[in-house]
Amino acid sequence: MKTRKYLYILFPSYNDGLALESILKTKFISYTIVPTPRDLSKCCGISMKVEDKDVESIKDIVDGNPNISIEGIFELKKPRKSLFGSL
Amino acid sequence: MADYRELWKSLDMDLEKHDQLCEVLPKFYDEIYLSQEKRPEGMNYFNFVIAEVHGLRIQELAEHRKNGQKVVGSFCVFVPDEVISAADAVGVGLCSGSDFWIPDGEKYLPRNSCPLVKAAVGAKTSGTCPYFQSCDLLVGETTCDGKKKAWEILGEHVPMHVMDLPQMKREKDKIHWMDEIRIFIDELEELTGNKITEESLARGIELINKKREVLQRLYDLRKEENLPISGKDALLVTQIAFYDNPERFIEKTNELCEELEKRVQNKESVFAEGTPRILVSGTPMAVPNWKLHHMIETSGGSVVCEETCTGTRYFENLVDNTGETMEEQIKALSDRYLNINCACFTPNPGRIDDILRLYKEYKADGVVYYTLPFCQTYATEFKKVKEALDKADIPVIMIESDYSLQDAGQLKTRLEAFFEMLEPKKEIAAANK
Amino acid sequence: MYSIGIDAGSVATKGVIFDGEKIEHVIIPTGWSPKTASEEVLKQLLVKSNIKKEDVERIIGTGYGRISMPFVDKAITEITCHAKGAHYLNKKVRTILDIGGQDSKVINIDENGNITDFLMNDKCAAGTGRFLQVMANVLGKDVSELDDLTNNARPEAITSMCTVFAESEVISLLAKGIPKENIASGIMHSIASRGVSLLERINILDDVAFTGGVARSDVIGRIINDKISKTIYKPPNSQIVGALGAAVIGYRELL
Repeated sequence: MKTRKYLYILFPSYNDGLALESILKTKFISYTIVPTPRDLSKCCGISMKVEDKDVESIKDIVDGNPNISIEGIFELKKPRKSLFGSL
Repeated sequence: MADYRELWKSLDMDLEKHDQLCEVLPKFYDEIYLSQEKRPEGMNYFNFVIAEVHGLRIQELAEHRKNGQKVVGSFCVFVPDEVISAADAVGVGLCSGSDFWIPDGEKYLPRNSCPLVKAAVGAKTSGTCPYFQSCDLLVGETTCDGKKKAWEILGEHVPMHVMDLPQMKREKDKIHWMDEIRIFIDELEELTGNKITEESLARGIELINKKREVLQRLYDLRKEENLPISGKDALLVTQIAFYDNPERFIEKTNELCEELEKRVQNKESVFAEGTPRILVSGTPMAVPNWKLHHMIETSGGSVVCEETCTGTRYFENLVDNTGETMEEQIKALSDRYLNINCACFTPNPGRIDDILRLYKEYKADGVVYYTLPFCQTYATEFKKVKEALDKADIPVIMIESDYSLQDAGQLKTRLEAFFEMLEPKKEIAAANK
Repeated sequence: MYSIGIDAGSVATKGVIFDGEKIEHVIIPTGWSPKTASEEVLKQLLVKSNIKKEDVERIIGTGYGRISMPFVDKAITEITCHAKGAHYLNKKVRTILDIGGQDSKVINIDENGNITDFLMNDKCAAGTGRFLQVMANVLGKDVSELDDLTNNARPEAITSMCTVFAESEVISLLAKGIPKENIASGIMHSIASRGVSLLERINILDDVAFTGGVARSDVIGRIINDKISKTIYKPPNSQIVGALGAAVIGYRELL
């Protein structure tokens, strides 16, 4: 069982996401670009899934780069039912 | 979050219904793609493209149109992208891989039509696909009866050009297809107001060849013993090739390949040792039809290659770029495209040769023959393919399935049983080594 | 050394305990929960053979309910299990026709019981035990009574393959006053033809084993025998072949 907790960073525009991505890459912080879960926002578009342990350093990066704005960091806990049934 | 609602409204979309479509995709993508272990980092770009599928790319198309360029939508690997590019138009492959569009398609088409055709018609008529809405022209082709008749219906909603693809490969058919390419050139010149020249066509050929080369580079990596990428990720890359900006796609896919080449050096695999390697052969899988790959890769198998239109049929063989006159170029295009072994041709021995060759090249253990329901050509051709595979002692299973997920349980049983059947064969082969 | 195989099908859950030669079995209705049914089968098997759970070294789950058995060591598809079960019972078997409660399948095997090819019917009740059950209901009989009812009567043709259409067809035949024997005989012919047409889609090899719940009917077995010129082998207990195969696979893994 996976016990890692994931958090989602939402952005006002995909450009902010890509800007953050390029910094995370240089700092070897792992991230996944994902379609924004509908439970978090009704708008389509990208957000970034990151690990719990990296959140503080990511917050520092965002604070230190005024050209990157984010809409917030959200946690998603809801267990999801498989769309393929109980495979 | 970027708000694309104004953009969608300007494309005359049904926003409310479109919202229902947007509701499903993130969950579906999350379950199928984001649940994978050891995914290459380079897949982040493709996650990005999917996340922005109805956003950024649509905005880009809108900007092209604002600058006076035309957007040309197509459905099939026979439509020569080189010509579209040479006319300075933007080509987009239209995806028709979702169950969501079937009910709207069935308002116009018989229920026993193939899901791909039903979804294409439904996507347009329901006004929920921004790609269809962005197209100045749709290009159809005569690869099957279902499509031929559907173009007549789609033509009532959007300007339509149909290319008459011959169904045999005799000399006169090649001449005919060259003629069809000439007519297509005229059509695009008229649409765009741009003259297609030897230079612009050469540039188009170069660009699309580059796209094919990078896909071949990616697929070559799937021939490795240690698979650096899952089958469904590779499928996604190919699907995205149909509608992404080609220059950016080439760059990003090359980056992905560099990462995968490192994995190969380090003998890293995304699958456990001994996972059966499957060659999928059959009908195309349009976004978001990831069902079969997902079922295979969650039932104990791995997909190493697709002998499909969203696979090798899309990118194998380059267009000869040595032609200097327009006639030579058209001949080169015709030769490359008529070399695709689609089941619409009779006879079609080339496809069997392809399957046997790809089975060896990709070191496959078995073939999953996939066909969408009501696809007569591919379903009928199974008999010949099976005979040839039986003769070569290559295990094959036929899976007929549409976009809905109701048959998931039964498919899983069949696939698992097929992989169980491959095990003793693999053991014998290993012992003989 | 003991191994157990449990086959949770749509209608019945079957269990077999195996010690290398002797076998003991249990069959119960699956009901709505394959999980509960398979747990019950396990319990009954242990009681029936007077063996403690600790002495069972391997449990293999199969059938459509195989994913809902938390206590098994491994889940294997019913296709592989039927192949192994039929091969264990009769080494001459090369083709298996299995007609269960909601699906039917044909399997070709080699001399070692390894599968060489297989086919499953589509997601449809036609030609399965479900078809038989629906028809028996219309006739006001239990499925187990159909064999006796036919009583060598001339079969009244049932032309619809679809279970829903065939049901209305049988109702109208009854209304026309056609004797139940002839209708029952027609039903048996209809299901046998479906089995034969599935068989004909694969390369039929001698001997042919006929298994699954529907194989309990001698009449259907005889009709199939008449239609294909192959030796038909019917196991003494056609329902437990999958569970037996699972138990045999488990036992061999212990060796």
